[in-house]
Amino acid sequence: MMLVLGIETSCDECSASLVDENARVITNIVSSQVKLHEKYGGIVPEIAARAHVETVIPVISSALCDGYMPDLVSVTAGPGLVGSLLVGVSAAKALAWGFGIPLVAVNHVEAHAISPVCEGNLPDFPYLALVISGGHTELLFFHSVDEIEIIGQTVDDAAGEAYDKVAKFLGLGYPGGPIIDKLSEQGDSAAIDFPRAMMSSLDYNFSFSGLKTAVIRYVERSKMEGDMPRVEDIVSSFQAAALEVVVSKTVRAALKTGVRAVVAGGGVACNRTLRRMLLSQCERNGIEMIVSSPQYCTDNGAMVAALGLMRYEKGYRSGLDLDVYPSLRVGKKIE
Amino acid sequence: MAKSFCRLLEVGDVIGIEGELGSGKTVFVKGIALALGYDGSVLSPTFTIIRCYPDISLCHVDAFRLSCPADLLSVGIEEFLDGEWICAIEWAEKVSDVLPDDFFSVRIGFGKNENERNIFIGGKKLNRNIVINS
Repeated sequence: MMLVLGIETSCDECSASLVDENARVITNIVSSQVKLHEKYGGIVPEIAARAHVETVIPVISSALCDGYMPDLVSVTAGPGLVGSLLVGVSAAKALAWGFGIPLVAVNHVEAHAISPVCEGNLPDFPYLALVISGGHTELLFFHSVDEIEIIGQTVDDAAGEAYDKVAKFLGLGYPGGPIIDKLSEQGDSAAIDFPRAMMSSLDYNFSFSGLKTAVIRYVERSKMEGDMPRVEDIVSSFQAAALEVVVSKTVRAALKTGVRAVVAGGGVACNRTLRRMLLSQCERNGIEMIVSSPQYCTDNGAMVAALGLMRYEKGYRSGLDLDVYPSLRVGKKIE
Repeated sequence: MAKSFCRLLEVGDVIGIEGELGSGKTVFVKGIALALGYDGSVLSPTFTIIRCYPDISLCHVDAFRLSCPADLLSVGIEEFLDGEWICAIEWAEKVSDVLPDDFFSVRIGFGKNENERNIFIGGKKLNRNIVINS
């Protein structure tokens, strides 16, 4: 049996996972720092990096059950916060050297896009992937495991960032996604007609910055007029505006590229409304829709181990001089 | 607007941009990038804190998530304050202590109408302050 250790520290989660040669998960340990960052309404890089330094070794030890010996180590080299990435990459290099095993560096966004493989659900290539999170909103066309094209992406804020900023503005707390998703269920999504940005543009790009501004201006105007709508209605209408564009463009891109399956990954792919909308729209158009369980949508080491394994089988190796790449683009080779 | 402001800029300058959520800070930086000859997209740097555009020597920083000026040093800003880059820093009021004395200050406020903004530009390098309503 071959064992692959995956290490993920690109943002605020410190995760290590062990998968077998079929990318089936044996262990998946995630140490989240949400509590540490909660009071700032977002991630503070220095706090994140320091916390990673403290947690990375215990997390890796737990993933190895204090005894397993991996045959391969895979790590996220970018994109992400430079200090956070450095912790994971340094740990991975030390383990590769210490155990005398090969090292494979991977792109965090690409790992999200193959995450269903951890549950044995990856469709055949080619397929379309929607990676949607606090830091990314990208539509990717996977010709194969190492030939990936960006079909569309946000031209300003990431979707999750808009959620976080709207939640912060409304004083709802952090992270904004789960809070808004939950509150939305008690709201009327048609109460306020927020703009569907770039809905009719012919490309597959997204924009969330204008929507965020529209929500803020709407609330301030309502406050001034003394006619504040229910917060549930505001967030529900905001969520409808954001997700309708995402779902519509994803389905359009899938039909245009002629793929048979769409994969969704990233933290916002946990959003219940998005899952429901994507599933029904894909079904209506005869496209298979695959989204991982929530624990493999948010940042995790299992997807990193799985992608590392797939790349290893294609002959990829990284040297012990591996660097970190905070703004690494999808499809770019890691030197 | 950012375009005409750009004529005042030289490599090595630091621009501190202030304004509420949604006031258009990133849009202003987009304008600067465009004026410098960049035609790609300028993404929000909130997540990565720093985004660089080496082709036009522009460094775009977002201090939104930072809690104190020292945090800015920890994300590696010094590398870009060495005189080889133009640094545009959003939420500059959070980190003004570590910025050079002569930085340009841009303040963006909401106007009366939906798409109206009041922009104030100041700084030691200017011999006068500029106030624009656009």
